Amino acid sequence: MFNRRKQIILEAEAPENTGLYKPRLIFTEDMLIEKEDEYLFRYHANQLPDLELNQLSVEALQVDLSSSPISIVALFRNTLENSFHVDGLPLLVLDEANRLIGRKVLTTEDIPEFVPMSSMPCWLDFSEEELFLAEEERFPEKIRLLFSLEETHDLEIPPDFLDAEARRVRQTFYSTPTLKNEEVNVMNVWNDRSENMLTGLFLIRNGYEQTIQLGTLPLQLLSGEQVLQSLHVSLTSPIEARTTRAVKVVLDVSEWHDQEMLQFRVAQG
Amino acid sequence: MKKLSDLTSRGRGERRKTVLQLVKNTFNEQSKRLKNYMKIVKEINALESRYQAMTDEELTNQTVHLKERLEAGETIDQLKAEAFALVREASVRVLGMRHYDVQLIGGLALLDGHIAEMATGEGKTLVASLPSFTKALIGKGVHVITVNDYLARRDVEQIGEIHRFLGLTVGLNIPDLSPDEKRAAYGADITYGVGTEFGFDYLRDHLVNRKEDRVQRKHHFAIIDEVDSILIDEAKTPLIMAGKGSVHEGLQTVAKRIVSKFPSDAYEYDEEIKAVSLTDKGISIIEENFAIDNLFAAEHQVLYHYMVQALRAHIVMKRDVDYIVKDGKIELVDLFTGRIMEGRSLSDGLHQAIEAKEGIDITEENKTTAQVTIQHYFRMYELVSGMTGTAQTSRQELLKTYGMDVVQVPTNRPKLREDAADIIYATKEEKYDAVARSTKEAHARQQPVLIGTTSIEQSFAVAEALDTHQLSYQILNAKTVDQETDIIRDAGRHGRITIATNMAGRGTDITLDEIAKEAGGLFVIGTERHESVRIDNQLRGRSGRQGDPGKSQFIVSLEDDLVRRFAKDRLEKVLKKVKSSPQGPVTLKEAQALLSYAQETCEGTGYSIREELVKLDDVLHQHRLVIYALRNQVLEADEIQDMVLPMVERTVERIVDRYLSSELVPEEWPKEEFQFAMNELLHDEVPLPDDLEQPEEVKAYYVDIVSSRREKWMEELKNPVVDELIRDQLLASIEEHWTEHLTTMNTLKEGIHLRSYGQEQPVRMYEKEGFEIFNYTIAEIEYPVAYVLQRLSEYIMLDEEIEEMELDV
Repeated sequence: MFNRRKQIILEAEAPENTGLYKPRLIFTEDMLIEKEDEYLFRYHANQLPDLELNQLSVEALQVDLSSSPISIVALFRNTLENSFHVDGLPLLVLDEANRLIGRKVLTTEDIPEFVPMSSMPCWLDFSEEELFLAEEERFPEKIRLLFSLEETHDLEIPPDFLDAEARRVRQTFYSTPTLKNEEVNVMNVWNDRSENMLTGLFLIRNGYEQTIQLGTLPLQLLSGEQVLQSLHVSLTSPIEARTTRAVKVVLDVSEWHDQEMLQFRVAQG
Repeated sequence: MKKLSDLTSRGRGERRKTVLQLVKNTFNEQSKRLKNYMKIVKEINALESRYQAMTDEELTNQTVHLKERLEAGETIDQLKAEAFALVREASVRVLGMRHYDVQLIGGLALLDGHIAEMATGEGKTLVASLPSFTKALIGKGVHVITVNDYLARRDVEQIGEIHRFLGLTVGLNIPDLSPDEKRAAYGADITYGVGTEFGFDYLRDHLVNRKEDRVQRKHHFAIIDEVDSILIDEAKTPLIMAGKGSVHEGLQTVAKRIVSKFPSDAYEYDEEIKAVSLTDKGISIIEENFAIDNLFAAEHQVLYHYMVQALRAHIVMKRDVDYIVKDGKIELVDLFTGRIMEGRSLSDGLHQAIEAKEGIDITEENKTTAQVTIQHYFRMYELVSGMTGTAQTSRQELLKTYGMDVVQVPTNRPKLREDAADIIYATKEEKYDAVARSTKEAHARQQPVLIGTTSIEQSFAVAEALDTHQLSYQILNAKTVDQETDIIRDAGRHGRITIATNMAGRGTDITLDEIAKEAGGLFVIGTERHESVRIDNQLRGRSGRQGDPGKSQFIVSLEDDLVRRFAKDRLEKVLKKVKSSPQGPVTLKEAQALLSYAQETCEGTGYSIREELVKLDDVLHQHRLVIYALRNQVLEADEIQDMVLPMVERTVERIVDRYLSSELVPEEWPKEEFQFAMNELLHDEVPLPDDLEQPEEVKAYYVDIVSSRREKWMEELKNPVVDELIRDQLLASIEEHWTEHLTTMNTLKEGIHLRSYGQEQPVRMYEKEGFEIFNYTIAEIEYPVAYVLQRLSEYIMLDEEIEEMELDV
């Protein structure tokens, strides 16, 4: 386990003349690195492939499950010539199957400044909202970190969403490519039947540069592929420009209690 | 660097020269001593009728009478004949067992602090009843150390009957007793228990915060059963009290990854002393992996430690020999008994390094908070004596290291065991086949066979050979420890074949049935010579108890580990001659000589290592005595002013020493840092006067300042709350820094043989560097006390606030 304790070390690694660079490992004073951690960072920094000029790379070294909810120890390496900040840069966490399981927008609080041509360890604390795994799922030990350069919409999740529902919505939202301009898209994220209630989660994505007012959301209730009922869900408030709104629909399905595989579908047209 | 093996071979040469002389001297001393004991035995015998005539009550009163005479100034020497005669009569009445004359001799040897060597089955337990009673009359307690808890319990019940009958109290000291029960056990006149438990109690007594919590009394007299096991075989394993610390799992895993890919030239493994060290290649690999310049630089001590432990786990520690993996856990195997050492774990991260090697969950590290070797523990007794069946071959070592001489007590009944000559084979395969054939022959006439092995691995090899000959057997090793006693007890039944690691079930009698006796008694087959003749004899001693018939024989091979480890150089020459001879046992004289040479080298090496270890441990032991004396003072002193006030002065002086050097002119002194440190300690702005030019002057100036506060502190320390606060601070400080000290000293010991010091002896260097570390530890212990003393009012206030808060809650 990496611990944040004790002393400061500064070691430099000279770049080689191959067009490839091994950035020097840097620990800043406020990192309070323990000696054992220092060696692990040295080891990992040494094992990672060298970088070409002007690259930024991130490597997950360890998932720390002891901190709540989780913390990821990562090594950020860069071969940039000037120092820079990463305020607002999204970092994606993928599992071994390349499934998105977390997303964090890096701020200067996470990484105050990147020193040019350096490797720097960083502890990234993730909040519940930044993690997308279902409650019963254990956070995997093997993960991959990626910078996301794609611009995303704003995501609106109404307050009546349960935590688990919000997680599902976020996971789908961030896993789906951002909508092109002048396009509106409605997605069914999840259906869940609990006794006589069917809950459907939807994402309405507005790719326009202006606010839109949809009025209603046309849905169908299906049992397998058989349409049981058509419904119109009224949407009272407009959706802001380049924004995605999460919508939850809850329907009493006691009438169809003997039907299996009940689900919602967005009606075409 | 001087290798241990070099020291050994020289030592061996010198020893050989003097062997004849020694034998002669020994013989003279022995016969003189025995003659003297025989004289006392006569006295005891003469007293027998006097005690026989007494009623039970009169006998009991004799104890009181003897105690009174001791108080009046008579000595144990003057009373011993009466005391022995009294115990003998009590034993006859209570147990129906009368001590033989040879048992009286054994008892007298013990009373003199010697080691009584008595053949197995000669009733050592009964022998111990004599000196334990006699010494207990002094009223300072006697400890009888048994091999295991079972035997301690048995002795308390059985032998304790004699003592209780004579009006003494008997206590049983076993693990998991409450402190009150422990105190009661130690408060008894005679206390039975396992040595390690006594050692652990000693350590625990030095971790308590109130003197009332201690359980032991002063160390008076101890009788150790199987004393050679304790003082020689277990010499390398210290008793360790450990707190939990966490090992850096990540670094551990990386260290394992690196060493498991090591090419064979990255390290050197010295099988003789089971030590592994890095070669230049290994060092470079590590340096490259972590991108560091010099692994041996002081700043990389932590990394070095992890790497060496990983290497040890990988190369030295062998699965199914040194440890087994059971239910996802590492269980250590006692190399001498083959038993699992319940609850024992290796410290300083080695245990975790093995866990990493085996890919199982990594447990918390044992961080040593207190440590003593069992030998040092017993050295604290005013007098120690011991019993064993096999000590004579290690007489010199016991005498030199522990000042205990071995007295060979004649046997009561003649020994009927036949110790047959070794049979040597060229290969292990032939050896195991021969073991199976010999077993089969004995089995055919219903003679019970006990096959002794040196490891679990070897037990399985023997088992395989027996399978080939369709023989059924009982196998006893660490993996079947639960059934150990039962299997060993039944090993003497006719037709029984038992495979056991050499010392398994020691202390349990192997009883022969009638058919087994008629078939020739127990046939013990040794499958490999042990690390010393003494241990070979221990195995042989399982057979031929108390005049029973029996036979022992070693069937060995030139491929045995002992030969490979200790006689590699000479092996080839012998093998060349062997190759030209036909199959079957090797009858070459050289082969027998080679085996003896290997065993002697092993013994010599073992002796040198133990000798060196004892010397190294002596250094730490001296530190321990100082720290424990300080600790005892904190617990026992009525007032602590005299103890803590000098600590403030010393701390002030140390700050001066740290920053101000007489080799620099005052202008060059780092005055700012000095001032900061001094103000921080004194909790006050006390500027360094400009006119002081020598560190000694500065010391005097600041010592004066703290002396001027002395009266105030004296007054404050009268307040029981302040007194308690300072005592607690001091105890906490001792615990914290003593623990650190132990870790540092262990690391120093680890590295001491790997560093070259020119002409200097490693032990000398260890002592020298250890002394510096110890001074540092003392400074670290004293600083917080001095610090708190400067800001007492704040601490007291804080304390009161906390109490109030607790009340509010």
